[in-house]
Amino acid sequence: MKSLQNKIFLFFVLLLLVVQSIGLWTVLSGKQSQEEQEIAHRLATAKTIFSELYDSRRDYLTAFARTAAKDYGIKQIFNEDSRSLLVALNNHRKRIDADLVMTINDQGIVSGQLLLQRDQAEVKVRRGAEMDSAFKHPNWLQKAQSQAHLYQLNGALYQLSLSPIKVGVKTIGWVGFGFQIDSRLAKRYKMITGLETSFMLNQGQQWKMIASSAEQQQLSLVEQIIKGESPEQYIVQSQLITEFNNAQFGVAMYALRADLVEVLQGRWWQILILIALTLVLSLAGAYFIAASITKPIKLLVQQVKTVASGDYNQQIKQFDESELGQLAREFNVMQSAVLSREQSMVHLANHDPLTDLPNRNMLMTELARLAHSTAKFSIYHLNFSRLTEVNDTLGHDVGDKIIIEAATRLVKVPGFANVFHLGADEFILLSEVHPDLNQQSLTDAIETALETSYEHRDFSLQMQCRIGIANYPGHCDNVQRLLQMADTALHHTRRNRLQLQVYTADLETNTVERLSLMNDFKNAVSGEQLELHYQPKLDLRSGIVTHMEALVRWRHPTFGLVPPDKFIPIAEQTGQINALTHWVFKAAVDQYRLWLQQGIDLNIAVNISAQDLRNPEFFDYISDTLKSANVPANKLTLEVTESAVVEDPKAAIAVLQKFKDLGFCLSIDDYGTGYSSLAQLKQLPVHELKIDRSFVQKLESDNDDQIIVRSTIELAHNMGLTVVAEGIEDEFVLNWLAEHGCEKAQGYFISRPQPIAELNKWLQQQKGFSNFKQLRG
Amino acid sequence: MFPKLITKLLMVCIGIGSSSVYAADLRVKVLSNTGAPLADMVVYALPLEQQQLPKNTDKLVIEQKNKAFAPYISVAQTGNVILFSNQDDITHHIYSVLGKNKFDFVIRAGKQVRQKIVPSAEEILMGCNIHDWMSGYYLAVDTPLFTKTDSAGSAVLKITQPGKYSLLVWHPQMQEQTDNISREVTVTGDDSSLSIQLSNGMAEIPDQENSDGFDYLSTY
Repeated sequence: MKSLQNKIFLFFVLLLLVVQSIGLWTVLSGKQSQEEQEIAHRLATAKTIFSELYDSRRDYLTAFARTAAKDYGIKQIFNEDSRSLLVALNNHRKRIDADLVMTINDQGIVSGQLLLQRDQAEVKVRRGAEMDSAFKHPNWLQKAQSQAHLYQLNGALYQLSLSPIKVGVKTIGWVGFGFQIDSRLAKRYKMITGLETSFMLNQGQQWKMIASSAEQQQLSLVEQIIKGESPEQYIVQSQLITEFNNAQFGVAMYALRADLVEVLQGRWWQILILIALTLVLSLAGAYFIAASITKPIKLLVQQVKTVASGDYNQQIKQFDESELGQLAREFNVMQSAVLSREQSMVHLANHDPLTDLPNRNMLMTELARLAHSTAKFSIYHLNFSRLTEVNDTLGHDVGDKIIIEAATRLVKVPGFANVFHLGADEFILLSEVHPDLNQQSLTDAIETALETSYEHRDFSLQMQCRIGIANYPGHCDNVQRLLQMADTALHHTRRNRLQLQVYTADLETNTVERLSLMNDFKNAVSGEQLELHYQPKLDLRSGIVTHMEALVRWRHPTFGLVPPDKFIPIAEQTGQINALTHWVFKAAVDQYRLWLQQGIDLNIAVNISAQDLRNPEFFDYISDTLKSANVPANKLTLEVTESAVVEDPKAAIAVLQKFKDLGFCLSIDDYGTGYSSLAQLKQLPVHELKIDRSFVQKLESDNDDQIIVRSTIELAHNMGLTVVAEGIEDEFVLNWLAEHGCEKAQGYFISRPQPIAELNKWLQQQKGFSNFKQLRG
Repeated sequence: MFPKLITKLLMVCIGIGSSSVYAADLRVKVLSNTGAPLADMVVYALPLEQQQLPKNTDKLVIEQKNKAFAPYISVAQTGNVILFSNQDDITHHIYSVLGKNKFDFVIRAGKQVRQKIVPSAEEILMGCNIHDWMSGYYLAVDTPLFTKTDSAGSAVLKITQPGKYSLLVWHPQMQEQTDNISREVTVTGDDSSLSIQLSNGMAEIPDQENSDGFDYLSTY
């Protein structure tokens, strides 16, 4: 209902109704007065017409009489030959079809008179009865001028014009012509005016009807009218022409008011029908106008809808040069602008702004396409290492340049259909599996492409990358999952400092489990799911177990025992490492006191993470716990990994110094894997180095390891530090270490980490712990 | 033809002879009802005692001059001949339609037409069928004794035979009770004079001019 077409149509309808109503109102309100005006006008016109016609007849007669009076022929025979005169008079009479012609001589005698008598169809000319008798109106002849009169003869009334016949100035007689005032005249008036016309003569007191146009004589009515009355239901017009002293001649014209009004009423009907017809036509016209106006708009709307639905290829037809045509053109311009913007937006959405390589969106699309075509392909997930260092040291712009350079090179690597840039330093390369290309050659190609270092000013920057690979559909036929697999593989390389890793299911379990563990670990500390296991450290000189390393275990409600290398990183990542360390330390202190009550005095080592060192409250907690438990600090050892110290040596040294001051025994854990310099080592306020198991495990077979361990022991000793070796798995190593002056040893060969109950049994079995030789034995 | 000519000559001789024998002047003065002298009034005397009077044979000429009859009023004895003389350069159609002396003829420019008056004394009204305004009279009388008053209203009739006469005054525009005014007079041997006054005023004498003022008439 609210469409433009309806609005326009409605507007037109209202407009037309208003206009027509005004018109109709005007017409109707004017109707009554117009009727009266019409009637008055009609009557006035009738009166004028009557006068004009009456006078013109008279003037015509006069003019003709004057002409005839000058006729020499008439003059010649005027007093002579009566018959000749009559013939001449009749000739004249015929010229104007006069009803009466007469001559009067200078004696006042009617010398000639002819009458036209109309009896039914027959028309005859007869001699007048007044011939040779004196003229009835001698006074008319007094003046020798043409004159018009009403003349009564044989009961008929004539308009008569007399004209003197003159010789020189002398009047020798008169000639006169007359028209009868009869029903013919009355009917003629009626024909012209539409009013019934009656001629009346009043001689004495009696009105007599001379002639009438009406078929049925209405004498009383006409008499009323001629007396000046206006009978009801009639419109009347009367005129009196007084001719004689004692006679009145008048004309009465009348019509039934109803007849006239009926004629007018017919006109009203015509007007009403005309108005109705106009209204209908106008409305139809309005409808078509509205439709024709809105038709192009509808077309436009329809086409714009098509465009709006995203079909930018649909050009709007340019129907004409009107405003709508211009609008259509503008739509097309807008459409192409939108299209170009959308294209650029799509490009932006699908490409990395830095390298202009297709991004993850495109990757997903492409993967879906490849998966659909059921081709075999491989995903190479690339990650550039050490880019953070470049960003930090040389600035992000240099980092960006390296990424751009890398992207440029990767694109050129043969064997890969597409290169996608996922952002930062991550790229995905897709390789459709081809008989001629194996994985090795492809990774070699990547390596080759990135081999040349990037030169920035004086720096040669290496572009090292790790690669995680997943195959389709070998590993998975779900591309989303496949990407995760490549990512998992990549993660694995990162964690294990590898350059390349093809996905295997083994990698996967870790990851899934890890997610679950991360979630569950929140409850581990408070839910008393943690427990401490202890691994003995054997004093190689005395052969007695003097130290224990407390190792935390998580007894997961569903997974069972979770090894520390799985949940410690989680604790670190989720910020719960402090709480964990607190718990461990407290538990260790409690255990020390328990053992002490049983008469066992063992130094317990607790592992401290880098985060612990950074926690400002850590030192206070440890010292408070120690004090409240009333345990001397030298009964506890704090093991810090080499890498933890390396991250922030200054702070670490400060904290460690405080612990040392307090009396703690400090040990560097995993020594040999953390890239610490000797200078750092020199500064560290520690008592002990703990050589990483990787150097120890294969000590028997590996000479290099032997050299490393030997020189490390020597180094430590030279710096005043004692040495602990872990990972002792056989007797040879144990003896070797003892021979080379290593103070303590720890490993499966001595004892695996055990829960306190089992360890207590073990301790009792090893009663005495005389020395390792006993063990051996 | 010949005997007629002799007779005429004879009559002329007798007239001269008789006048020398007897002559009495009858002086008539015609005055209007206001006493003013009236000119061009016809005065004639009819013998009442069979006095033998010689025929008047004066040549009477009526000219058509400037589209008018000149003179307006002429007098002639019955039986005499009138010479119509067209002095204009256009044609006239002279007619008389009343009384016994009816005639009509066309008279070309510069031509003359003789018209004999029938032996009937009467006033003859003349008109021109071409020029309606032209109006002229001549009076045919049964006596040689006739004349018109001069500008002083005087007329003289030379009467050669004594006796009783009927003296008549006539003018077409006179509006007396009768057509003319008559007086009975007895003429002796002596001159006598008589004054006649009209009892009514005269009607207007037509000026015989075209009231329409056709200016083309001068050139056709």
